[in-house]
Amino acid sequence: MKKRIIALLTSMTLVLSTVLMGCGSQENTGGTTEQQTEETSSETAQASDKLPEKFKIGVVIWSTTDDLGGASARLLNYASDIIGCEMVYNTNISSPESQITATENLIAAGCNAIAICNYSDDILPKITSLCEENEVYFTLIWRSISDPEVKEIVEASPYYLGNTCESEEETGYMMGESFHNMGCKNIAVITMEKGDATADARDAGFDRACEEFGMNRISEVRNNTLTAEETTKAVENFLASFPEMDGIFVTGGSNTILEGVIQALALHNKTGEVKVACIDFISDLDKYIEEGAIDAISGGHFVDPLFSYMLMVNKLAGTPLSDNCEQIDLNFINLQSPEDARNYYKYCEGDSYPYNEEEIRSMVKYFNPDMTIDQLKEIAAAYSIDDVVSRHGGDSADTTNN
Amino acid sequence: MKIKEKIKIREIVPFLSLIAVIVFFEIVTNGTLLTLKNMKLIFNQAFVLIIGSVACSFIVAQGDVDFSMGSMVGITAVCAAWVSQVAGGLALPAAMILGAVLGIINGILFVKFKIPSFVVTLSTLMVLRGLTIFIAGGGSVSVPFSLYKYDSFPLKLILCIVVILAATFCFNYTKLGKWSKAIGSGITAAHQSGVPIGKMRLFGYGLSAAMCGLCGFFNMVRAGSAATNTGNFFETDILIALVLGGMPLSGGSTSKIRCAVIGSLTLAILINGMVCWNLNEKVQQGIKGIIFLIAVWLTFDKKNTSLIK
Repeated sequence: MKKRIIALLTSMTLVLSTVLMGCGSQENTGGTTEQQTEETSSETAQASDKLPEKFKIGVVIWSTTDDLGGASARLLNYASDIIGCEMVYNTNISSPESQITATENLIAAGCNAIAICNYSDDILPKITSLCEENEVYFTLIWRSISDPEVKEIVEASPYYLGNTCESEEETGYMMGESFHNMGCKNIAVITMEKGDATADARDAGFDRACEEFGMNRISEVRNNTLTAEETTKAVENFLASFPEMDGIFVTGGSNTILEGVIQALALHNKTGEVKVACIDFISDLDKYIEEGAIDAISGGHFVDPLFSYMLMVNKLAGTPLSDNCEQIDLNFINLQSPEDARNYYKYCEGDSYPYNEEEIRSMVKYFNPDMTIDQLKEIAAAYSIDDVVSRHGGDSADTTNN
Repeated sequence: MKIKEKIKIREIVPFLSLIAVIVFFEIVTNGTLLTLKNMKLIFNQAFVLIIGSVACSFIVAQGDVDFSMGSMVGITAVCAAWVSQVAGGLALPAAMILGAVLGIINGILFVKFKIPSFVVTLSTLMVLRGLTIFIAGGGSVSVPFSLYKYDSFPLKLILCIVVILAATFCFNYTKLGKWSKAIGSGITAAHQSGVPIGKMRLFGYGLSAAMCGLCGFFNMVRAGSAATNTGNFFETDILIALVLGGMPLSGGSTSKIRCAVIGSLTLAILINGMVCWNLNEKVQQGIKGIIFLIAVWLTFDKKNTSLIK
C-alpha cells in the first residue's frame, strides 16, 4: 500500500509538473487571453520600439472567455505586445470580497498597475487603500463612481489614475425608446442581480423609458451566471406566462444569454413577433440581424480597457498624460443593419483591431511626445464603425485578431 | 496492522501535499510565495476559510453536510451591514446570532422532519440567497468606514488561533467532539451508547452557522460592503478545503480539526500561487479540479461509502 501511494504521488507530481510547466511555457506564446504573461512577440524588435521597462499590468475582470471579456483581453494583449508590457488577468471575482482577493493577488504577483471592473462603488475605498499601501496605480474599466463619498476618497488617492466608462443609463433608455418605436408595450427583462453597477444603470434607463412611453415591464429574470440553456428556459416561461409579451430586453448579452433568447423565440416561432433588444455584442450578429432575430443592439465597448490601460502605461513610463485622475468617455456602437455588423467584424473586432500598431504606439507619450490627455479623450470619443473604417478602410492591416 | 498503516498514510498525505504545494510555488514564483508580505496576504485570504471549515468539521464528523454556508455568510453579512449603519458595535453579535438561529432551523428540518441534510441545506442555500437579495434591496449595502479597522491582521490571527485551539480542545477532549465522531462512525452504535444524536446535530448546524456569521462579518469589513453575492461558492471552497486536508466526508473517528486548517491553507496557497505564477486562468480551474480529485482518491475511505445522511 505504502509503495502504491508513493508511486502514485510521484507519478502525479510528475504529471502535474509537466502540465504546469507546459502551461507555464505557453505564457510566452502571446495572443492567448487568460492569466498569463504576454511576452513581446517579436524578439527582434528594436529596443526603441518598446517601453524602457517591461511593466506588468493586472486586470480584474469577470471573464476572458465570453465575447466582451475575450475581445478586451485580446486587444490588451495586442497592445502589450506592441509596446512591451506583460498582462495578468484575474477572473476569480464571484463576490465583492473575492474582488479584493483578486486585487491583492495581482499586487502579490508584482503588477505595477491594475485595471479593475469593480462590482460596486462600495469596494473602492478598500481597493484604494490596498493600492496605496503597495504603491500600485489603478484605474477603473467600464465603470464610473456614482457615490460622492466614495468618489472623494478614491479621487484623493495619488494612485488612482482615472476610469473609462460608457453612458450606461442613456443606453438603457435608448433601448427602451427602440421598443417604443417598434410598437412594443409589454416587455420582459433579462438582467443581472441587483448590485451590479452596470446592469443597474441600464435598468434605470430602461425603466425611465418605460415610464415615459407608457410601456410595461411585465417580468424579469435576474441571474449573473445565466447560460444559454437557462435563458432559453426563462424565455419559454415568459412566453407561457405572458402571451401578451411583445419584447425582451437583455441588459448584458455577451455570455451566450442573447443566443439563448434567440433560440427560444425561434423554437416557438416567435422570431420577429417578439422584438429583442440587447446591450453587448456577440458573434454572427450580421446573420441574426438579417434574420430579424435581433431588433436593436448596442455594444462594441470592448475597447474601453485600452484607454484606462493607456493612462497606466503613460504614468508608469514616466510620461503621465495628466497630473489628475481622468475620466474617459466612450460611445457604444449601434448596429442598424447586417452591413453595419459585417463592417464591425471586418474593421473593429474579429478580423482586425480598431487601432493598428502605429495608433497604439502613438497613444503612449514615450513614443509620441505630442500625445495629450485631451487627444486620448478625443480618440475615445470618436470611436465608431465609421471612425475605424475611415482610418483603416483602405488597408487590411492587422489581420491578427484570432 | 495493514489498516493502521493505511490510516497513517492517509493522515500524512495532506501534510505532504501542503509542503509540496509550498515548495513548488516557492520555486516557480522565484521566492515570492514565502515573503512575509505574501504570507500575511495568504493568511488574510484563508482566514474565513479556516474559521468556516473548522466549524463545519463538527457537521462533517457526524457524516453530514452543510451546503448552505455560502448563503449563510451572505445573509449574515448583509444583515450585519444594515445593523452596522445604526450601531456598529452590534454588527458582529447580530451576524452570529442570526447565523445560529438559521443553523438551528437547518438542524430542526434535518432532525425533526427527517429530511436528508444535503436536501435541507441545498434548499436553504436557495431560500437564504433569495432572502439576501430581498434584504439587500439595492444590491449592495455599504459599511461605515469606522468598521474597516476590524479588517486587521493581528485581530484575525488571534481570533484564528483561539478558534482553532478551542475547536481542537472541544473536538478531542469534550463530549461535543467525541459524540460527533461517534455519530459519524456509526449512528446505531452511538444511539445505543446514549449519544443524544438530535441535539448533537442541532449543535453542529447551530455552531457552523454562527461561525458563518463571524465569516460574514469579516467578509463585510474586508470588502467594505455586503452584497447579494457575498459568500458565493463559500460552501464549495469549504468542501474542497476539507477534502484537501484529508477530512473523511463519511465522518467518524478519523476526523480531525487539523484537516480543516491544512486544507484551507493548501487551497489559499494554491490560489495565490497560481496567480503569482501568472498561470493561465482556464488551466487554474482544471488544476484545482485535478488536485481535488487526487485528494479525494487518496483520502476517501472506499469501504465507507455512505457519504451523506
